[in-house]
Amino acid sequence: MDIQPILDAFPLPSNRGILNEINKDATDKAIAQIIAEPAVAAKLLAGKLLDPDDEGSDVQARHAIHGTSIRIPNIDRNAQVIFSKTLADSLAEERPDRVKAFIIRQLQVCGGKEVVPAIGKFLTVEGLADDAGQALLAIGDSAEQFRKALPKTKGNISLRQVNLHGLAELGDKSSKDAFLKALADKDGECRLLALWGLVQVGDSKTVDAFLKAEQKEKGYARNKAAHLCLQFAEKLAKKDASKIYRHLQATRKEPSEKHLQDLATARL
Amino acid sequence: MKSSRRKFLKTTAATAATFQIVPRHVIGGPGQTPPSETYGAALIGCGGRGPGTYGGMVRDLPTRLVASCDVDKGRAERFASKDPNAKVYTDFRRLLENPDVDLVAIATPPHWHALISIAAAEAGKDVLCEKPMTRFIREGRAVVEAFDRYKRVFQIGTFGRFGASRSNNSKLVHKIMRSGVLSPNPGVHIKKGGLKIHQWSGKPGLKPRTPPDTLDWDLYCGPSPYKPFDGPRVGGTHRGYWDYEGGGLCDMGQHHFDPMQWIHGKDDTSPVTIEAHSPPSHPDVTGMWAWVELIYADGFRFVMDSTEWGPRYSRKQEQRITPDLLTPKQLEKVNAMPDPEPLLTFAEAVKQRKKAGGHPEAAHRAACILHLANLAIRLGRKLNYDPDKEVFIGDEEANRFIDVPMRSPWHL
Repeated sequence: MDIQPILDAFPLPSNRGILNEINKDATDKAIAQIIAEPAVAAKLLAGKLLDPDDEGSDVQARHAIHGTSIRIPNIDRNAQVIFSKTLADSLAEERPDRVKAFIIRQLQVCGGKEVVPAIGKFLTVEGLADDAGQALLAIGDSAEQFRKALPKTKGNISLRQVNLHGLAELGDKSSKDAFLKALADKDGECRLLALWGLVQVGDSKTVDAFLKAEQKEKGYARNKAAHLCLQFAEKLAKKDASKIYRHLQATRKEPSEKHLQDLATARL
Repeated sequence: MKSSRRKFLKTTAATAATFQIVPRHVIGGPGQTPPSETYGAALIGCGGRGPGTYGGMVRDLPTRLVASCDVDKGRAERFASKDPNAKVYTDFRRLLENPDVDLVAIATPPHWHALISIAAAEAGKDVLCEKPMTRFIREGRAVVEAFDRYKRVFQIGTFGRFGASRSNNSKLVHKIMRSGVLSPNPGVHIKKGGLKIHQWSGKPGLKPRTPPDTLDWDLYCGPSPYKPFDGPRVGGTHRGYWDYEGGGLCDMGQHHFDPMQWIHGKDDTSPVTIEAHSPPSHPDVTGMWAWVELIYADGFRFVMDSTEWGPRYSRKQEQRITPDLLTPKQLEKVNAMPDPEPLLTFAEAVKQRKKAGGHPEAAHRAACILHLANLAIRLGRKLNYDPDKEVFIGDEEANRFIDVPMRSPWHL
């Protein structure tokens, strides 16, 4: 397969620096050619990607990969799996992080469960964990990857945030103990993510630990914690919810917290 | 002496019986309102649109500038220099902790609008937020839920619907549409041009640069992917990057379609099918498109005809909603309907503790028109949308663009 004519179908920035000289027929045809040979094309296109600091331009390669990633699900499901699997396999190669980040972002658009393990490996890699986490959340069915990664992030706050975030967003019930443990994390954002995780899980048995932890937060985090209290209460049966509303009544007494007082009172 | 409106209201009863000698600037007088009767106002995002958005917020309200915030400290300082007592922040979270702040104008790039609006509501503040309301659809629903929960006032920073709501002709169209007598609805509103697609197209492939010392680039990126800094990603040209906004369509679309949405009675729903004529989009930057057609469940259509690239829209002609389309009996039914309630300005809504004319649900639905159009442009396929569940029907990959995961630790 000669990839150059396919690349040439995509525009380079015009004198104005934008992509206004794009030809729909030519780009649609190029994408059809990529989809006709998804494995070969994905490998060749991925090979054209550059680190942004490198000499040269990969504007066309990025455009071709993204144009295919975003349109292939509606055109050919088998080709979609092959295309995304080939991109995922390229993540194992020695490439600059920012190239890998781009590939992960395209898998966020077109990848399915077949690429989840390959992306999951980056949940413990500084500089790529954020990209991997967001891609896995978009694809779904990925809690296991976050569960496996979290214990490996003890010494790194940002990696811990990524993995707690993932588990919380997915409402992973089997991470309840991990969330309870993270209520005592030295990082405030991790503590808030742990509170959120418990809300998402929605287990009434965790209410006491949740309330004990949330009242230690200050300032912005205190408001966020109050918000999580309300969200938690909305998920629980009346008796447990009332406990949370009474807690808010008892703890939110500053003049600036009157709206929270009023809200808790109204719901009791 | 610094005292917030909230503190004032809370302490008035306790101090009413106490006679105090206070200086004139505290008790007020001709041209002076005492601080205790003013609203503490703040601006978050002090760039190009900041002063205008702040001005829109404080119009017809007794306010004093309490604080300003920008990830570029120099900008925040420049805006705060209007009042010697105003505090300067570079992190919106710290500003929202300030109990003297009652009202917040938000004029950051749109990828921050939802999170800051929600946090402001949680902190008990009222909000005037620059358009477009959001970067993706799920954010808008979260803003609606937050302002419903905390009973705060939210107004989107576009005001065309107020003028429309005072026009007798627009009110009649509104009533015809809300009556449901036209079924299927033959209406077609075509917006030709005015969506600045060349002007707000991004520039791909620029080499990374070192961010200015005064800019907190990490906080600027916030919930969006962390990318290497290059100049056009900030300062208005951010509009051309999917990470922060949605091109000229999102920049101008809320101006054009928000009033039309009110006139045509669509403040509480969204289109059900969306189709565009466009080439494949670039992953980083917004680009060219020809037209987008958005059809509501009743058959009414909005059309965006860019006029800046590709073929013109030719499926339908403009078809205005007029009484001529109705039978005498239908017209009788419409005429029997009460006029729509007047839309409250932000100032009126704040004073009366009622819903503003550009309230979250309406603003969200208007933003959805833009997001749905951009998604049809990007995805290159006909989209079927459920306006109640706010998801695409039978298109899992398209739904990934409705609720976009945020960079840790940010989330809705």
